[in-house]
Amino acid sequence: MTDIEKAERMSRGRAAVMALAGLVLAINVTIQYGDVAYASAGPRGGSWLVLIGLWTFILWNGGGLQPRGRMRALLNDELSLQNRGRALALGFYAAVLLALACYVANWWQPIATGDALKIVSAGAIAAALLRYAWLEWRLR
Amino acid sequence: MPEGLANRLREHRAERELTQAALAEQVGVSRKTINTVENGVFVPSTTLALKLARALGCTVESLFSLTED
Repeated sequence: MTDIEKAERMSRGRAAVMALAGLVLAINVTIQYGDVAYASAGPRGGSWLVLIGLWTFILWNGGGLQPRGRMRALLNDELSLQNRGRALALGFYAAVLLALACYVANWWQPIATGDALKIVSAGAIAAALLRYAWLEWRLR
Repeated sequence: MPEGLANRLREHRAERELTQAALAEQVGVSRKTINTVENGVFVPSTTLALKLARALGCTVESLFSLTED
């Protein structure tokens, strides 16, 4: 198998993992909404920090612990970098819109700070991950 | 009038009997990038355009040109 074929396979795998992670994050925040244990000091509340930190890091560097050298360059070529940029832009807009939605919703139905922050962070990261996965799959 | 970018990458590649993967290997990008450039979905940087021209033994102007939509 050539480097190009290997990179293509890894790129497809990366897109699939990111799509799955985006869905899991969205499901997580929905299931955990209103449950104080998942937003307070403790293992369950702390796991959110790890989860968001991990996926932010993966989005930032384009796939976590990747191979070095030529394979890394192939995985993060111009098209992939452009896709990542577009995905991060969508994540930013999703964060702003979700923050506004939480602010307005709070006028009628109070939302706990922890829940609101989880909605914003999960929504932003999930939107970016799903967008990235979609762009990578669509342009294959 | 808005301008678009036309490219003759596919023709030049076919003339040299190169596959997308082979050209990708030569310029150091993924096959997907070559495919999207050929289909006009992705506009490459100047650096990549120069690398493509070098790999295909032609000028950048013969690969890419402006069109009026």
